Amino acid sequence: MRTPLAAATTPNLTKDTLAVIGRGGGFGGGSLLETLAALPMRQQNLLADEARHYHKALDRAIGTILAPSVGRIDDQFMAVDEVIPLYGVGATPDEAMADYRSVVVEYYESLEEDVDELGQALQGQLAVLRQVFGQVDQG
Amino acid sequence: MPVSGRKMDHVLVNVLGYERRAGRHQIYVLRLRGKQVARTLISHGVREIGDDLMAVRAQQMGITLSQLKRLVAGEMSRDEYYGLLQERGE
Repeated sequence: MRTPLAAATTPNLTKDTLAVIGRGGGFGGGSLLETLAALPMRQQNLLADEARHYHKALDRAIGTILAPSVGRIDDQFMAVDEVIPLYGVGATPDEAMADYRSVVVEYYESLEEDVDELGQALQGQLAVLRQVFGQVDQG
Repeated sequence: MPVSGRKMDHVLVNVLGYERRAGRHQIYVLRLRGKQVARTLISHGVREIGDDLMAVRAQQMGITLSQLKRLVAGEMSRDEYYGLLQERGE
């Protein structure tokens, strides 16, 4: 099934639409990169700006609510929060934070998928992560 | 002593009954009486799991680092682990 061009090129990247794009959904089975490359350059730039904006907003919300710290473990760096806790690792502090960010996103989405069967502790984690992504969606 | 990702996977899935979910990162889910009571996640960037990561992992699993080490060493059973989770209200 193909997404109408107007819908595919509207630069309104909410968390939900990013998740769909990330899975390659809604673009006739093509990958995200293939889809982007097929768009007019102006539209590519708009989408890139939206993605950067979302990225920065997510980092701000994570920093405010989860407040992860980065430290060295052996020959790697680890970003970890004391709230959930979640962690990411990498060869540099930036890579560790990028890994941590991707962990937060995937963990949050998996909790939302299973919202009806979460026990008490996991419901608490989901509530915290909803604050994070709610703050991002508010801009 | 660091624990390999494979060893930790074995403990979580085969010993403790966690369900493994493949994704960019591996998420492990434990269900008891129809409810998800614990989750833990192995980042794709992790090669070996030392004490720092073990401590985070233990917290995710609802136990202490020393208790997780006992699990990995085969000194604690699945039932004992479930009992610890029940004690914390899960």
